[in-house]
Parts: sequence; structure tokens; C-alpha cells
Amino acid sequence: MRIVINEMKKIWNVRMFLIIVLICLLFYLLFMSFHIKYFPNGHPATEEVYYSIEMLQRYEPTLEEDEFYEFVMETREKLVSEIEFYIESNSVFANAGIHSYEDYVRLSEKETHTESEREAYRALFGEECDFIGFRLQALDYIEELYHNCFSETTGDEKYRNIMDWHTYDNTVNYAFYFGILSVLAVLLLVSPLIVTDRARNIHLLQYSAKHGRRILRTQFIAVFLSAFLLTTVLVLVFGGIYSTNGTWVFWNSGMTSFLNTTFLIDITYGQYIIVYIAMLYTLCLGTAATAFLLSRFSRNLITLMLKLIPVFAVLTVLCTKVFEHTFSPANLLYHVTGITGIEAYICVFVFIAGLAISRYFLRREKTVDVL
Amino acid sequence: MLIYRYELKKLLKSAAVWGFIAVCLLFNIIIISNSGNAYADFVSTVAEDTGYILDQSFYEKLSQVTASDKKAKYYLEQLKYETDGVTDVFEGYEVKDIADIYINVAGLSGFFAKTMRDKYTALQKVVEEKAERDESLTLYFAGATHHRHNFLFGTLTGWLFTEAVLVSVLLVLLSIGYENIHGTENLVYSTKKGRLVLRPKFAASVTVGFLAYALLALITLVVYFSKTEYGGVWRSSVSSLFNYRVDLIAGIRPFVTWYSFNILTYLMAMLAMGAGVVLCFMLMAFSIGMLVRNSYMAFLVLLIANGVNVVLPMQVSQTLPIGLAVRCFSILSPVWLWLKQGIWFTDGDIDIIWPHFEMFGLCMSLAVLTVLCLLATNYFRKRDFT
Repeated sequence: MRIVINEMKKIWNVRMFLIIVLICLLFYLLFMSFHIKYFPNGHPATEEVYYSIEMLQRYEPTLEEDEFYEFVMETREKLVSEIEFYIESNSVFANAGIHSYEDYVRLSEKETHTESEREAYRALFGEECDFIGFRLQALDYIEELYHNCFSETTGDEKYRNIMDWHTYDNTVNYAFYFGILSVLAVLLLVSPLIVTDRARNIHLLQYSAKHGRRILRTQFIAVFLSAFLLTTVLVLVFGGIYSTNGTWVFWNSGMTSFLNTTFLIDITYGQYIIVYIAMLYTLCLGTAATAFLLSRFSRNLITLMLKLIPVFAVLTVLCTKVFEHTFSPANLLYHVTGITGIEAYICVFVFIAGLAISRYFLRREKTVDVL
Repeated sequence: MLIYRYELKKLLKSAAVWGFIAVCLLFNIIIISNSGNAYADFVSTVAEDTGYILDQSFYEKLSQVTASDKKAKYYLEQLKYETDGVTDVFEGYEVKDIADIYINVAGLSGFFAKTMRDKYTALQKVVEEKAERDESLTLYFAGATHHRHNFLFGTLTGWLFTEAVLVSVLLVLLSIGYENIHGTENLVYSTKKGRLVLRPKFAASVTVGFLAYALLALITLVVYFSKTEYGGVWRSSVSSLFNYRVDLIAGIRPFVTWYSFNILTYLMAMLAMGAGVVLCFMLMAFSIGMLVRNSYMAFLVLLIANGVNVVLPMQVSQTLPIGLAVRCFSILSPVWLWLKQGIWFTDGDIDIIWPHFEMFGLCMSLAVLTVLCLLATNYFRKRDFT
């Protein structure tokens, strides 16, 4: 254990730690901060997310038919009275001959408009009317989704879940970039350990010590533990940042919903995130094993880098395919293979393959000719 | 010269470098194999008979072209439809509005707004010259132009420059970090040649870097042009009426270049410019390699330096003159030149206030990086290795 800790100290040196922090920061600013800063992104996404949360808070994770109509009726009444208020208090509407909500509806159904009518129509979508036009649009859209869904899949209760699509999309995009970042960070952190010793033939000295050739196994354990530790730190840091989005309200909501897409397995948003984190751990540990192998077979740090770049490119493509629309029919891997849960199987495969090949070379190292 | 030859040999014997180049080529071949466009191939074949200039002779020859099968007949009809009654897109085309849109959206003021306006005033003259020459009345790939132009001058050359930059940077770091990696630093620097050994090392790595770039470009382009038909359109202008740019701010607009380029000369110019960008990155790698002895760390520092260069203009407030200055000048750095590779030799986009930004940026970058290299070498000459 003492040697493992000392090997880990070699991995976690201050310079490397700073480099990893800087790379994570730059990657976050370039690719991930957008999904935090701009959630929900514009209109009517903001209104749709707002209504989803309101429905969830009022009716818990599932929405029965009577509850839905109650919600739509009450919300529409409120919106109409608010619109009436704006129409009365704003001269733009009077100029266009609009004196009530009914006039406004008639105007929106007209094919051609005068300039003052266009201005009046746009006014409800502006900040001065608190974007009420978008709220109405969002409510109409939700109603349309509900009718579409239940006219096609009558009786399928899983669509009664309240899970907003924008939230799902935001989580998936963030998770996908986070997956790439984790793989990159693990590759960069653990790769130099073996090659640094080997470039200076330190391993020959190590092999002649009491611990002998078991040092490579010890180093593998150090690499593995470091990857686990780094992934944990990254999950805590970037998970913490993501929690500021407030999407946790959907934790117990089933992913398949009339507001969202269809999923191949019955899973809640919370379970989805837990499964994602488990997949990320397996992928990162598989990556660590791959990095260990590359490091073992590189003569110096630059040849290691020449191997790491293509491997990172492959792992990035893998992350794209695994973490994009995971467990939904839209996922490319599922689309090609038709196997439910193929995304998780691939992560496990990377992990087991990395582990098995590493084990083979660790065993071989005991008898290999080092000169 | 002897050391230069040995250093060259050392780099050329590196199996990992050859392996990396092979992987890059494999990747390029994969993307080329997925880029096929039968209609574009048909257009270039037809252009061998009709010519590429859309004049009376073209239409006469096109009317005589016969289709052999159903698919060819469909393509021929499509080509006739697309080329029927076309007019010069540069005739009466005003670019002043683009300047105004960019200035308003980017919030430019003072010197930056004036430079942007001056750029489009100069571009207006170029547009008028193009209109006089009927430069847009060339065939290119007709309706398939945008797809094929973007693939060759966006996707393929983009990946080619990325691969060349990566391999050349790693070659420089491998060369100058070699003694440190193998623990022979103190021995080498105590010889008569001493630390001056860095000169042949740098020269060798730059030579191999350019060779790698040439090899990547040669094989990639040979594969690409053997797979796609460019037969009759080689001399077609890249500013053809069928070519356009999708600009999120100013909308869809013609592809205007500062000079008159046909496909061949544009490709040559792109490759030459690419070589310049590769050299910039090699100089950058050399400077960083001098300061950071560990090659692995040096590569990561290089990544971070370029990452900061990309992120900084996005994070600095654009309402202050300093924010605008950071944004406008950072565009001239190698990493931004690389990112804007698809619009080299054009007026650029909202981020670019300078005319000929790629040439200006390249000259600026080379000058700054050469000074940095000299400073780093000077620092290295007096560095304490104990």
C-alpha cells in the first residue's frame, strides 16, 4: 500500500494538478458553460420548462387526464385575463383595433396584416407584456403534445410522466461534454507514470528491488485508483455546477413523457443520471487501463502523446455515440444494432477489455526479458 | 550539417511519428470515402465538353449533350434548370450593409468600426472588378458547389491542417526534448557545440514537420482527386454564383475573395497559407519547449496557451475598448487563423475587422513568435541545469 501511495504521489504532482485544473476550466468555458448560462435557452423554451415544473409541483410525477385539463383551463383563464389587462392598458392594441382577447385571436388568424396590426401582434411577445404571447404559445404546444400523444398511444400510462424535453436535452448535452472532459483528464493525468520511469530505465532498478516486477502491478493499481479519484472529483465539481440549473425537481419523473421523447427502458430522471455516472466511471476506468497500456509500450513522452491523440479521438467518438440520447431509439448505437442498453454494454466492454489486456501484460511482465 | 543530418535521421526513424501519420491518412481516407456526390461528378464531366464559363457557347454545347441513362438524364435536366437564365451576382451587389450589420451586432466603435467600414469599402471595389470580369458566371459544380467547396476547403483541408499542426508540434518537442527525455542533456550541453545544438535540432524538426505536412497533403489530395471528378471545372472561379457563404449574422451571401482565384489557385493558396500556420505552431512549440523542459508538459502548456487565446476574447466584456482590442487582435493569432481556415482570402466574418486578415495575421504571428523564439533561446543559453 505504501508503494501505491507513493506512485499516486508521482501521478498527482502539483504541476500536473494545475494543468488538469486549467484544462478543465478552459474546456468548461468553451463547451459546457453555455448549458448552464443559457438554460432554459430563449422563448418559448423558458415558458415550457416553467409550465412543466408547475405541473410537476401541483400533480407530482404523473399527470392524469382530469388533472391536465384542470391545469390547462386554469392557466388559460389566467393568461386570458392577463392579456385582457395588457390590451386595455397598452395603446398599441387600440391603434390596431384590438379591444379584447377575441379580437387578438381574430387578428392572429388573419392572412394579411397592416403595420399597426403587426406591431400589436408582436407586442404580446415582448418584455413589456412579460412575454405573455410565448406563455400562451407554450401552453398551446403542451396541449398539442398531450393530444398527439394520447390519441396515438391510448392507455399507455408511461406517457403520463411529467418530464420536460428542454431539461432532458440540456442534461444530455452537458453530460456528453462532461464525458469527453473526464476521458481527456484521465488520459492526461495517468499516462506519464510508466513512461517517465521507462524512458530513464528506472524500471530496471525497480525490478531488481525486493518488490521486483510486482511494481508494474502496483503502478497499475495506482493508475486505477487515481482515475477513480479524478472521476469522483470531476463528478462532484461539475455535478455541483450543474445542480445550479435546478433540474433536480424532475428527479423522480419518468423519462418517457408526453413532453419528452420515448425511452427504451422505464427509468426516472434521477436513475438516468445515476446510470450515466456509473457508465462514466466504467468508461474512465477503461480509459485509465488503456492509458496504462499505451504508457507501458511508449519509449518517451512524445511517442506516448502520438498514441494518446488518436486514442482520445476514438474515445471522443465513443462518448458522442454513447452519451447522445442514451437509452432512446434516437441513439445511433441502438439504431445500428437494435440492442437495448448497448450504450452501457459498450462502456462495460471498454472497461473489461482494458482490464483483461492489462492483466495479460502484467502477467507477461513477470517473465519478459527486459534487456 | 552533420548534426542536422543525424537529428533528421533521429526524427525520421521514429516509428510513432510514422504511425501517427498513417492513422491521420486513414482518417482522411475515411472522410473522403463518405464525401461522394454523383451530381457534382456529372457536372464536372459535362464541363469537359461545355467549358466552365456560362456564356452563349456553354448553353449551345449544353443543349447538344445527351444523357446515356435515366440518372444522367435527370442530372442533365437539373443542370439545365440550374444554369438557365443565371445572372452575375456581383452586378449591383452592395457590401456596405454587411459592415453596418457587423458594427451594430458586435458593438464596434471608434477605430474598430472605422477599420471594419474601410474593409468593406475596399471590398466594394473588388466586387465591382469581379462584376466587370463576369467572375461569378462560371460553373463550378452548379447546385452541388456549396457542398463540394465546403468539403474540400472546409472539412478536408481543416483536418489536414489540424493533423499537420499536431505532428509538427510534436516533432519539434521530440527534437528539442530528446536529450532531457534520455538523460543526456548535461553530456550534450558540455560538448564543444554545447547548447548551440538546438539550432540543427530546430532546423531538422522544421524540415521533418514540413515533410510530414507535404506527405499528408499529397496523399490526402491524391486520394481525394482520384475519387472525385474535377475534370472540366478546375479553372472555374471560387466566387462562382453557385458558391455562397452561410453567415449567421449577415445572412447567406456570395463567396467573395480579395483576389481572383480559380479552384486550383485557391487550393494552392490554402496549402501555402496552411504551411505558414504550421510554421507558426512550430515556432510556438519551440519557444515553449525551451522554457518547459518536460516535453509532455510543454505540449499541454501549448494546448492551454492556445485554449486561453480562444477563450479570452469570449470572456472579456465587448463593451469596453480593451475587450474589442483583445477580440480583434487575438484573431490574428495562429489558433484563430486555424479556426477561421474556411474563410481565408475572403472578407471574413463578424470577428474580423482586418482586410486580408490571414496574411496580416500570419505576418504578425511569425514576427511575434520569432521574437519569442529568440528570447526563449537567449533564456535557455543561460539556464541553470543543476
